[in-house]
Formats: sequence, C-alpha cells, structure tokens
Amino acid sequence: MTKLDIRSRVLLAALLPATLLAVALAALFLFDRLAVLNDAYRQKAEAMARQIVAGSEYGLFSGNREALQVLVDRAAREEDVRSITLFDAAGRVVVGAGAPGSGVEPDHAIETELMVELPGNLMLLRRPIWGANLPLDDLFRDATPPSRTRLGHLILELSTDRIANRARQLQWTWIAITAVFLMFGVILAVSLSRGVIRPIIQVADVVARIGQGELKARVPVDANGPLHHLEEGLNKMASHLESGQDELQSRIMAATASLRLHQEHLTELVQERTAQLRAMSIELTKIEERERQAVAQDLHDGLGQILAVARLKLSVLDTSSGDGVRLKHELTFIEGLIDEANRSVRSLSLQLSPSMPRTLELAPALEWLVDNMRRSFGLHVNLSIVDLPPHIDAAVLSTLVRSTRELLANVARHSHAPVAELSTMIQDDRLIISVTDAGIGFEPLNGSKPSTSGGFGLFSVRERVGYIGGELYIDSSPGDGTVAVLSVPVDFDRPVTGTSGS
Amino acid sequence: MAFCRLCCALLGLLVAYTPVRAAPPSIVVVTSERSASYDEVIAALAARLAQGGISAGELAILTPDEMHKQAGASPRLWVVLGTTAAQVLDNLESKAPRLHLLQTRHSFLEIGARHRLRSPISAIFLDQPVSRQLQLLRLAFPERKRIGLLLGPVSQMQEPAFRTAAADLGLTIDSSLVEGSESLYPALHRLLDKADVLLAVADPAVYNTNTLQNILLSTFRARVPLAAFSPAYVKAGALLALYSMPAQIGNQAGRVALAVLQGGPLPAPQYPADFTVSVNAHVARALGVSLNEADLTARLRRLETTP
Repeated sequence: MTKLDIRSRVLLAALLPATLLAVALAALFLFDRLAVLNDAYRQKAEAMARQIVAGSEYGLFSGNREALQVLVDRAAREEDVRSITLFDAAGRVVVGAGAPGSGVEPDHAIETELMVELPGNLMLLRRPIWGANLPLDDLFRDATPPSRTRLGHLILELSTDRIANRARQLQWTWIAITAVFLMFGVILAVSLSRGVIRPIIQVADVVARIGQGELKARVPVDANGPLHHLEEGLNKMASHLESGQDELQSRIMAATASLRLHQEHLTELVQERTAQLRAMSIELTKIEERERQAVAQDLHDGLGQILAVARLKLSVLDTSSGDGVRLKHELTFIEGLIDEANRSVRSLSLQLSPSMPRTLELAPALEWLVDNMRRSFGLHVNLSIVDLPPHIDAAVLSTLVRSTRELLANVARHSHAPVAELSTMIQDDRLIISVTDAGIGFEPLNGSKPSTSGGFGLFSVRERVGYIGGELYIDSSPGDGTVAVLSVPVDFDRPVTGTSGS
Repeated sequence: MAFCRLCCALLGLLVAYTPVRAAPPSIVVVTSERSASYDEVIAALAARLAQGGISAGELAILTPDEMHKQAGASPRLWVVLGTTAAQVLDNLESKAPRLHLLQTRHSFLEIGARHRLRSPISAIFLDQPVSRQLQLLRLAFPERKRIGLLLGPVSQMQEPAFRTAAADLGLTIDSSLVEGSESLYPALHRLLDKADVLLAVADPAVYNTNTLQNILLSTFRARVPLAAFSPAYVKAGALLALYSMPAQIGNQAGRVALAVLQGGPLPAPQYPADFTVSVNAHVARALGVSLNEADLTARLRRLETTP
C-alpha cells in the first residue's frame, strides 16, 4: 500500500468502493433472481400439481382412465415435466405419462404432501387426492361429519435442467455485467481522475525539484483547477525559499569576504611582527655590537688608560726608587689610578647590568627605581602608590620594574622633561602603572618599533608586558607630553603571575 | 324471505325466551344447538303457543349443558330438538311426554328403540313422506318415469315404501346400494344409466359433504336431474329439493304442544304437514328444464289436500 503512487491511490479510492458495491449489488441481484426463479419454479410445480389433482379428482372417483390419461398426457406436454403418475386409493397405478426417473415407490397409505429435489436435476412432488368437501348447512347434517375420502395420489416429476441452465446463464450474465461495469468504471475513473491527478503530479514534481535544490521551479497555476490554492501556495513558498537562499548566499559571501579581510590583516600582522622580530634581532645584534664597542671603548679609554698610566708610573718607580718622597707621591698617584680603575669597572658593570633590588614587593622596587632615575639620569620622579596587589610573582615583578624603568628612562632620554609622574592603582582587577611626563611628546606609531637610540624601546616594553598578559597604552602627541600606561591582570586569590613565566 | 323469517323467529325468541323461573315451566325445549335453524324452530313453536294462550313464562329453553338447571323438573311436555338433545334425554327419568323434532324417521326409530316406552314419545320427522317426494317428481317431470335411488345402509330400508308408492303413481324405481366409498361411483354409474331422475334419500353414508360434489358432477354429466331433500343441495347444484322449513316444523310442533297442554294425547309420529319446493334455476337452464317453485309447491299442496 505504501508503494502505491498518487495515481494508483486515487484510482484505488475511486474504484474499490464502486467495485465492492457493484459486486455486492450484482451478487444480491443474482441471489435474488435465483431465489425468485426457484420460487417461481416451485410455484409452477405446485400449480401444476394442484391442477392435476383438481382435474383428476372426478376421474379417480369415477374410475375414468381415459379422461385421466388425457389429463396427464396434456399435463406431460408442459415444459419441464418428466413424468406424471396417478395412483388410486389402494396405491395402484391408474394412469401415467413420461418416464419416472426417481424410482420412488408410492405408498398408498401416505396422505402427506411432499416436495423434494433429487439427484440428476429432478424434483418430485407427491400430492394426495381427496374427494372435494362441499359444506352443507342443513338440518340433515350428521353430528359427526364423515372423514375425508382419499381418492388416490399424484406423483409428479419435474426436470430442473432448465432452471439449472437459467442459473448458469444468470451467473455468466452477472459476471459479464460486473466485468463491463468494472471496465466502464475503470475508464470513467481514469478519465475523471486525470483532472485531479495531473495537478497533483505537477505539484509533486515541482516539490521534488525544489527538494533537489531547483528553487526556480514553479507549478503552472490553473485558476479553475481544484488545486489552484495549493499551486499558488507552493509557488509562493518556492519564491520565499529562493529569496531566502539568495540572502543567505549574500550573507555567506559577505562573511567570506570579511574572513578574507581578517585573514589578510592577520597575514599582514604576522608579516609585520615577523619583520619587527627580524628588525629587533638585527637591532639586538647591533646593540650588542655597540655595547661591545662601548665597553671596549670604555675599557680602552678608561681602564686601559689607567692601567697604562699605572704601568708607566710603575716603570718610573724603578728609576726613582731612591727618592722616597717622589716614590710616595707616585704610589699615591698609582693608588688613585687603581681607585679610578675600580670605579670605572663598577661603572661599566653597572652600565652593563644595572642592579635591581632583591625584593618581592613592588613598592620598594618602585622607590628604588625613583632613586635610581634620579642618580642615573637626574630625572625627578614623583611616585604615587594608590593601591597595589597583595602578592606579585617574582618574574612579573621583574618585568614590571624593568618595563617601568624603560618608560622612565625614555622620559629621561627623549622627553626633555625634568620631572615624571609615576603612579599605581588597581582598576577592574587590573594593576595600572602609569608614567606621565610633560615633555616634547612623540608620534605613538613610532613607539611600536624598536628604538634606534639604544635600549629596547616601547616595542620591547609591549612585548615583555604581553608575555605576562598585560598591555601597554601610549597616549602622546608631539608637544603635549606622554602618558604611558601598563595594565596587567590581577588575581587576588593568587599572586600576579605572567602567562609566559619569563 | 329467509331473512325475514329469521328476524321473526328471533323476535319470537326475544318474546318467548325466559330463563328458568321459579315456577316450573309447562314446556321445556331441549335444543342440541343454538343455530339459526334451531332458533327458528323454537321461535315458531313459541309463537304458535302464544297464539294458543300459552305465555312465554311457561316455556323453558335449555341446551344439553343447561339440563342441570331442570334437574327434577317435571314439565308437561318435553320438546327435543336434534340428536344430541335426544341422547341427553335418554338418561332422564321423566314421565312427561316427549316430542322430537329435526330427526329423520330413521333416527327417531332408533330413539324409540332406546326409549322403551318409559313415557309417551312422538316426533315430527325432518324428512318428507315417500309419496310426497314421488308426487313432486311426477309433477316436475311428467315424462320421466324411472326414478333412481342411491341407497345406503340407512335408506335401503325405505326402498319397499318407495317401490310401493311408485307403483301407485306409475313410476319405476331403480335402486343401487352403496356399500362403501369405492362402490359409490359404480353404483351411481349403474343407476344413472337407467334412471331418468335421481331422487336423493337422506343417508349419511351416501350423501355427505365428501360425496355430494362428485354425485352432482356425475348426474350433471349424465344429464339426470337430482331431486334432493335439503335446500343446501339445491344451492350446491341439485335441480330441486323438497323439504320443510324450520318455521313450518316449529309451527306444527306448536300445534301438537297446544293439544297436549289442553289434555290431549301425544299424537303419533308424523311427517311435516307443510313443505317447500326449491329449484336451482341455473341447473334447470343447464339441463333445459323449466320449473317454477311456487307452482310446484302449490300443485303439490293441492294434490295432498285433494282426496
């Protein structure tokens, strides 16, 4: 049933009830006709028997065989009569016609009527023949009326061949009529169902095409058709689907373009960062070389000169060893050279690696930094600590101190400002360290690249702060001073730690 | 006509009939049934008594089932209608005379044999006298001299009387005896071959509801007229019938009863004094016979009254 298509289902729905009805009506008609036929046949047999009985009564009473023979011969000429036999009251055959086929022996004592169907399409009727009873309403009637007088009986055999043939004819007629009716019904149903099935199939076809992605498919609308509402609705739905798909397509294309832009931006960024890293690497190499040359220059100009003078003085001591005052003066001079060499070495050492406080707290470190700036660069820094986190990881503390020192050093080197403001606070779970000066300012874009004037520059600061999850913000413009802000996340449940661990 | 008679009879019944009263009735009528014919007899009887000065209160009418109401009663006359009533009165010890009505002569003779003269007994027969029947045939069919009689066990006893009367009238009697149902047609066939007229004599073994149609058919086919003893036979197909109507019998019984009540003796059994002749016009036409009921009746009466 589930495999039937629409056409088959519609035809089945139209034909099945009609078929059942036709078969039922035909069967009803057939059975009714057969029953009527049987009844008519039986009635005919009864009538014939009654006629013979009535006609033979007087013949039996009078023993008139000739009259009885004429009667039965005439009756035997009737259609379907196989045989007629008349018996007298003693059971003796009086007259007969035809060939009895039943073989039923008459019983003279039988006074009951009988109608039986026998094998071989034979029907047998037995009827007793009574003397006619004529009611007499007179004063001579006896108190006990006489019993009926049985004059004999009749055995009538009828052939049921004709009714059997008629039944067969009816059956075949029934089959033929049913077949013709069904054929006519099929033709009619097919022709009538086309008007319904065609639009349905068209709609189903369009639905299938839409399902396969052919959103431009449309079903032709028949304004007078039975499915025009469905066809219009389907077309409207297809239009909506098509427009929706177009909109979706445009959105996808826009999103793809946006992604492409982002990808290109990221690619540029990566390329920029790669270039920056490459430049920073070169800069580091240069810085290293410059620092080497500076150290070498310092060693040559400072410590080398001192050591050469000290060598010279020591050689003079060998020739003026007799003069004690001079010797003492020379020794004092050499001692002074050694002290100067010592200071030169410490200065060089300090220059190569500034000493950092060995503390785990930010406030003392910042105070040291303020002092260091004053002594190293002559920069006066006003420190303002509004708030600090309770614990800071050592690596983070080192990054923050070095970055702050770089910012302050930049102020000292480039801003020409004698004073800088250093402040700390906690805002939105972030530690904010700001360095402000009222110097000459600069274009912030330049600060994103490695400095060529020595040190790591703002780029280095941003990279380092980035390692611990922080950010660097620069607000500066030429002539308006500079505000540099370090912002790092603070977890109050744990010490402030860097994401990179460096 | 019959309807008018019936109405008169019923009217008479209304006047005459009174349930059993405290005073013993002079006449008790015991009727076998309460059919129209019997009631007509009783009504005629009561009317005739009333004409004789006997009030309705002196007449009691009972059916056999009501006989216990008259247990020990001793009327001056019992009037017994029909065979059943006669059988009931057989067991009644009463010295009062009894007048039997609606009985054939043969039936009355049987009753008389059982009665053994315990009390006076008489009757007005239902059947007609032999001479009257033969006279009628001679009047109706002057040229038909051979009278056929189909006799049975009862009626065969009347054969000598028929032969004697026929000889007096110049007629010839041809008779056939029916000894069983199978012998009816052969006997009838033999008779119809010889007789000019078939005279039916009441005998239940020969003439009854089962045999009448075939007898009528046989006579009609043989074109032999059938003269019967009952208007029912004329209605069924007999050419004519001679009989006494219930009112005629009742009237005659009333005359007898009045005579008894006036102290007279109970008369001897007698045939009906008055009679009626009926003719089936259709059968007469079919047989090519022309008969007139009234004329036949009047001529027959004149014959009887003429010495």
